[in-house]
Amino acid sequence: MPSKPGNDFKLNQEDKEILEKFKTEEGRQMAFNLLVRKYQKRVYWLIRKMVIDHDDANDLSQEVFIRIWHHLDEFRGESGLFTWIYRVATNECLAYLKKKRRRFFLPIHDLEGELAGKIESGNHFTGDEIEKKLQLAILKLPEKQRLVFNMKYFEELKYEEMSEILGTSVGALKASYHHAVQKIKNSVLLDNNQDEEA
Amino acid sequence: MKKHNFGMPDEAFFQAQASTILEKTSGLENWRLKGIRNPQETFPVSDSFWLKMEDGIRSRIKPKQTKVFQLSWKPVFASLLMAITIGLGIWNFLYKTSDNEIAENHLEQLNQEEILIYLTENEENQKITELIAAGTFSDINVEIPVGADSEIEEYIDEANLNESDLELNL
Repeated sequence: MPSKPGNDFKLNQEDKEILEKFKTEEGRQMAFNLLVRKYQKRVYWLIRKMVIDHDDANDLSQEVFIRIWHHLDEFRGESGLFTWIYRVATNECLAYLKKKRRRFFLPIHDLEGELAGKIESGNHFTGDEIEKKLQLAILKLPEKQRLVFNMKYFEELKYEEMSEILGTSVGALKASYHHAVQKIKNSVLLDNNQDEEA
Repeated sequence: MKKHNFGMPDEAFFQAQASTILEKTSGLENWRLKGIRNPQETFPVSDSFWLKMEDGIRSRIKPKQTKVFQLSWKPVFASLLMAITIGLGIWNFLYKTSDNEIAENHLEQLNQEEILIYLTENEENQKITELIAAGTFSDINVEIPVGADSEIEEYIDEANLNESDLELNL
């Protein structure tokens, strides 16, 4: 299980060293390898929770790191390295979902239904019944709200960190999380009532 | 953490307590008590996956050279396009001649013989050619040919005019 983010919105010593090495021609490849090893799991899980499918999450994670390879020179160190990586990953993820939703130029595509089907099929999910219900309820949220919920509920990120990553105010994030929780509660309760009636 | 002196209840107690709380509440945070795991544990991934992913990333990146100055193709292309446009403008302004100038230049290069050949080949200019053949182009003393008497008589016949008509008009 990946470590919980601590003060990831500040540049720590280890990341500073990675960045220093990356600036030199002889250390560039090694620094990048260190960066991949350090952050690949967290990037993958962030994406996996959003796209559900393992292969899609794998492809997208690789895209994220390739983007990082090309643009790490532009990182100014004004935020934590992981905050920056997280931002790249969330942008990539949202762009992918948007593209997938508009597949074949058809604006209406039941992406949530497709993702829910993957969870229910059991190939992509090994959780028990209650964990499945929670994941299905999360899938009903709008994408950005889903991101906010995952970051807060599972990753336990601070609102300040989320604000840096998503470029949204802390107040708006708190409201978004609150709404997400209410929606999930309602969805799960409705689901439970339907089960009881059946 | 401060050590407390109370007796520790066993694990079964906490499980029973969690169930009781869950029955009474429907708060989302209580799901944690019920053992909701992080998706990391519920979405399966093989053990070798992480190494494969690393290899996948490594195979897709090209070694990057540290450049003294970075040359991006977009500004280069834009500059090139601008230079071509400016060049074409200057060339057009300096060297492009009018159609009249081209015709004059062309005529200057032709000698009289070539002009005569052209005129000979053109049927409409047949009469002019015959006249030109009599002398140089500038020396031609052109007399507009007036119809011969026979031609005038022929015209009168065709128009069906009699002599009285002619007298009246005259």
